[in-house]
Amino acid sequence: MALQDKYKALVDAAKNAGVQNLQVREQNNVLYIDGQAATGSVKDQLWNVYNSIDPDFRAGDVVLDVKVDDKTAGTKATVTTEKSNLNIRKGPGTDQPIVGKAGHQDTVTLISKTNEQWWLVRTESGEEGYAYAEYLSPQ
Amino acid sequence: MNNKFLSYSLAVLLAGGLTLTSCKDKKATTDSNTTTTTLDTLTTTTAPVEVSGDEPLRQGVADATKDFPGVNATVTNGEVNVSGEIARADWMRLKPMLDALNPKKVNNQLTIK
Repeated sequence: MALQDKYKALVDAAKNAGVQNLQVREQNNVLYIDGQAATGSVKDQLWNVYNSIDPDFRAGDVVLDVKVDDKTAGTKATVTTEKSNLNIRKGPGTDQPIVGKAGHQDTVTLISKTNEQWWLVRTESGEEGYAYAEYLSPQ
Repeated sequence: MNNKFLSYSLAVLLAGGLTLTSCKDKKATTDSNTTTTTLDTLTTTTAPVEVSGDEPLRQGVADATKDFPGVNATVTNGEVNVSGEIARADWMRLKPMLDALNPKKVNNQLTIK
């Protein structure tokens, strides 16, 4: 219960932001907060609240898994890497061979979701392969 | 003899009933071996937290940390241990990626620049 008190502002922020399927569980001295946010900005806001309670996430007593289900098969996404190219791979994993690259700020077509981390995509030059979802922002 | 048989049958029936009742409220995807704390607020649930196995975690952590070359990450018993150096803005990007892999916890031993 102590952790629920420590992170009350975070849980309240999640409730107020309308996070769906919100689950708050305290287990073995870790607080697990799960749910689905409507937009990436809601997720960012919650991470900012978390960081304000536990700067740099030093305590390691929260696992915050707020998913943003904002990608849809058949639509397009922008490659939002920091500045580098995004590797397009033969399979979903960084141990898989690179079959192509998409440039920073290029557009790719989302073909199908493999899991929370990986999407099958098609680049503008027609290469198909798997890309890390973190660096794909829906248009 | 008959009484013993009846008692035994009753015990079996009761045990069966209890098993069914105890399974009823659990979600199909949860690991029934995990224990959890029951809390009485609106948003809490009795379903245990699912923690990924070490192998899928290692793969996920390798994928997530690939673009942060100063970071060393290991996985032990569901816990992700990160050390090395990272820029604060990068850590703000990386920690959500690690939490999304369903670890038991993330131990931050990073030097944040």
